[in-house]
Amino acid sequence: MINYIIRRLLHMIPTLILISMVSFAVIQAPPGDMLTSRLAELAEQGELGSESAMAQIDALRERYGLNDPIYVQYVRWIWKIISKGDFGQSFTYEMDVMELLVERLGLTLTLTLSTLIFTWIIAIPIGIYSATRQYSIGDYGFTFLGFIGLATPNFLLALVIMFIQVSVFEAESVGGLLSPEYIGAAWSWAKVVDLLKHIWVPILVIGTGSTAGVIRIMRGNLLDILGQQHIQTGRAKGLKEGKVIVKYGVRIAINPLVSRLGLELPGLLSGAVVTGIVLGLPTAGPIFLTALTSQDMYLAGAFLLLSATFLLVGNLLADILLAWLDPRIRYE
Amino acid sequence: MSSAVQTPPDASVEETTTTATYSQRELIWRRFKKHRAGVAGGCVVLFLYVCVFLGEFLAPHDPAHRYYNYVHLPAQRVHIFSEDGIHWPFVYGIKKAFDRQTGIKTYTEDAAVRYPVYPFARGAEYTFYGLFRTDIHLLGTGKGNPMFLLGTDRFGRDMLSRIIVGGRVSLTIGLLAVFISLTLGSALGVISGYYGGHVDNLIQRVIELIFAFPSIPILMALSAILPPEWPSHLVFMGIVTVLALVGWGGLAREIRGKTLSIREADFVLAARVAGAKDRRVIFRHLLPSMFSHIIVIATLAIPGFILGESTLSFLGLGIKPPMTSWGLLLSDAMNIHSLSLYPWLLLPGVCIIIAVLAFNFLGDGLRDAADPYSSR
Amino acid sequence: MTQPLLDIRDLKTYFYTDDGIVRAVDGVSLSIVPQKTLGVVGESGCGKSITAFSTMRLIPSPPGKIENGQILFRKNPDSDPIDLTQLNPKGAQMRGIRGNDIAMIFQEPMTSLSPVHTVGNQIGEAIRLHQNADKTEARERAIDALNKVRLPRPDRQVDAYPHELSGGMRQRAMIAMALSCNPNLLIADEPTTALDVTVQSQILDLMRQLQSDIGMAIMLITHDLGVVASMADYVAVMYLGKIVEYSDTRTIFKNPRHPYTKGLLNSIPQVGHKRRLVPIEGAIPDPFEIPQGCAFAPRCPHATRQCRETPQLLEIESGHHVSCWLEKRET
Ligand SMILES: Nc1ncnc2c1ncn2[C@@H]1O[C@H](COP(=O)(O)OP(=O)(O)OP(=O)(O)O)[C@@H](O)[C@H]1O
Ligand code: SF4
Ligand SMILES: [Mg+2]
Repeated sequence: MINYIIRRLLHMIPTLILISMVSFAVIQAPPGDMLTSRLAELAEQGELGSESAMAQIDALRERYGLNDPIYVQYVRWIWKIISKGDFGQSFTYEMDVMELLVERLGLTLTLTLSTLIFTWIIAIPIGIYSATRQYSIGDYGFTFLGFIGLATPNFLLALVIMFIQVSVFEAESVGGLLSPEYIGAAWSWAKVVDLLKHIWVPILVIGTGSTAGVIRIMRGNLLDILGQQHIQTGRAKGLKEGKVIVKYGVRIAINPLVSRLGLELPGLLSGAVVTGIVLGLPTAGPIFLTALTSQDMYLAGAFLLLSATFLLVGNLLADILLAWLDPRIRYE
Repeated sequence: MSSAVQTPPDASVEETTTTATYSQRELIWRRFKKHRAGVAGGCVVLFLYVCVFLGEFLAPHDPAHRYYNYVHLPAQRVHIFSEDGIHWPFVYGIKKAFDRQTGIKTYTEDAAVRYPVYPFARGAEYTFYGLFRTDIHLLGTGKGNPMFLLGTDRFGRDMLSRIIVGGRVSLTIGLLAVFISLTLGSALGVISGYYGGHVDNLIQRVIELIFAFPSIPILMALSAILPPEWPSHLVFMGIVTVLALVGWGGLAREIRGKTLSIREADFVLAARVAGAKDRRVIFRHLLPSMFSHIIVIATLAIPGFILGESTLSFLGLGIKPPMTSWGLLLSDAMNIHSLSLYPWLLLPGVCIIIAVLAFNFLGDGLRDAADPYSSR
Repeated sequence: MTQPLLDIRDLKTYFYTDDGIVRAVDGVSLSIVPQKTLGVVGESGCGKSITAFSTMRLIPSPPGKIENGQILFRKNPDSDPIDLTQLNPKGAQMRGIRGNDIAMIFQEPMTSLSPVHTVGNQIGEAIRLHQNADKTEARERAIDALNKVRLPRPDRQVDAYPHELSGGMRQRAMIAMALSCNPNLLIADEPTTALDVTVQSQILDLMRQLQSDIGMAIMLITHDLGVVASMADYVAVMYLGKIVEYSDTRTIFKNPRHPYTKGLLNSIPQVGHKRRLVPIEGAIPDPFEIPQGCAFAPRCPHATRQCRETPQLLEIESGHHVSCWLEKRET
């Protein structure tokens, strides 16, 4: 097991290097560099062309190493990240990228993971229900809802829910994670309740698509497994039907879900980004969008790099979990 | 392997495979026709493409024209009855009222004015695919007269017309993106599966790299790189490229899997043992026999591209005006205030759902027909 | 005469499928005497497994249903019989019988154990369920049971997962599980078909020995007449959902009366005889289109006009039942 984990960790290193290169490429891709916008500012003030301004720009170029070849810049960038956790500066927010991202990224990941848990809690029982009552009305109903859920983009679902909140329930504050009066307030019981009142919306929005997917897979797997011989063995022992289904059916049908976690997480993270933007959540989504539209590339690149790293780690954990759950693939 | 020893000469191998694929296709088609959801999906897809192809002809108005008198007009109803009996289908004129205190505009039907709705009515002029100029529309009440069956947006532009024209962009992007990524994906997937070894490793590594990023953020980042000064149609091509660039990996993986399973099939082995060149084996044997699977994979991939484009456009990183798309139309609904007052702004979303559902059903039907024993 | 342990009377189990009704078991009667072995033979698809599953009340429903008949089972020799067909298949009483009084082992040792639970867990489960044992006791007894089936190093294998065992070892583990609660009746559905020949005979030896140790009856389902000859006290020959001949093993082999039985016997190479193999002509009919009258008629060399009506299962001599018009004609 330890060997397996170490091997997987080693395998991650080249992928991480490639990921960082792609992120850096994204940072470098827009024409010009971080001083181009400064130049534009100067131009507006009519100072462009003045000796002192140009000298200032050149000095800055020199200082930030912008005249160096691209690979030197890459190595400098990545070295700062590794050694000091310094992802550079965001010029729109005039802040350290890391400082800006840390809390929001944390919230994004929390949201992603809570959605994952929520998805499973909802989807697995429904999958079991659908599989054990195949072709019942309930089964058809869930299948139909599942199709709709898979066909609705996150942003649209967010809009629809906001619309329903406003027009049907006449809610006053929609979107966000807290009502205005609690933002910045100290944590209290009331604030927690308020948070719970808000957080179900993003969870529902992010989770619907993958819930539908998980139900589908769970249903299919469980149907497969319930047709297998060892289920009859369990019944022939005299076990209760429910126990047979849970112990010998569900327990095995879960494994492919775990192995799919690696595919599920990126979708959830994508959903969290979009939903954060539409609902105006204090997550990384909105500032990522701002960063892209204002060409604040160090911020954007840092987000890409960090989220890809998170997905890699998530994948690794999922694989370890799977190896732990399924004795057949242990130590392979 | 034993079957490969009794290999017939190359020519006859070819003959058997072509007849085999032919009857195979016939079989698939017959199975597909029995799949009701699949056929329904196929019909809807066809209907949608016919609609967006007819575009300006179906659209009652010039989608870009701003009717400043009818800003945020709710959907008008088509009537047959009025107080004085039965008529040719018509819409009422519009009376506008403005509440000074709340600042809310309200529209009411003006029973005094009736605009009959005629087929092949004259309206705004347009050029049909650069072929001829005309001002005939499928339905209309005459140029400049109101008939806004799905309401108008914040500039008083006709929603129905914009949805039809926007649909053209959304649905074409799906097709183009799938075409490009399929070309790329088939080529690399087949090479990867057929040759294996280092090439395979390299390609798989690249795909892994693409999958390492969450899809929407990387799409957003790549589209944000497109030069802001690009005109609308270049941005369109740019978005197609971005979608294909991120999307080919999944297709290549699936095609690689199929190639692996088919590479060892008797007729492919036979052709190889008979000394056929790799290129010949790939193009004459592998690809034709995978054709149905490739179609299935492509059909099931289209919804992803449609959703991707709509998300990008919605976020303002995709299609750029004056072009429009369903996603871009929906960005008008982003403001919760206008959303609650003008809920018809959500209608393009309904179109997205219908299109995606239709493609999914069609794809499921095709898959079940092509591969009746695979349980996804 | 001893009371039968299991007495199946005119059992009919049908499957209602989209394509029609499959009469998988269509009027089967047989009985099993305590501590004896009944061999059930017949070609693939003739309803052997469905008879066994009906007895265990494990027919998947829908589409399957027991349409008719009684399955009388005696928990001990002097008690009144229980009609298993009247029990709720998921109810407590039936579950109390399954695994405890009647145990079953299956054809496919590769798939009949759960891949993600240890062997000990799966054996101990039955013991805990039926014998009120706690976890440690169940484990001890699981090791005991593995010891009895002569699995090497049972104290270690108890923690093994099925994929770590060979086919023969898995079937031993299955037998250990089945016998862990000392059942009165063991239903073995082709227990050795999937195993290679040497392992096969080891498993059969083992079953024979355990039978005499525990004193249980066995219903041994197989299409291998060689296995029947070496194991069974009685034999029931099935064809398309019906029993066509039923007698003690000696009689069946020495004096087979039904043309189908004769055909089956001819189709196995006999040790010491250099006779040619004579396979039974023709193929089994489609289960949806079972012919009227004697189902064997299309393949029977002796078929006559009379065979268009269904022959009854008659006792032609003490304990020897045959369903064939030939018998009537001769007497
Ligand atoms: N779930 C089911 N649905 C429909 N028909 C079934 C089902 N299970 C069994 N049958 C049918 O019942 C008949 C008897 O099957 P059964 O499994 O008892 O055969 P068998 O004698 O055990 O054969 P084998 O030697 O191959 O195990 C077959 O024709 C089979 O097609
Ligand atoms: S009843 Fe007739 S057909 Fe059937 S086995 Fe006897 S002779 Fe043959
Ligand atoms: Mg069987």
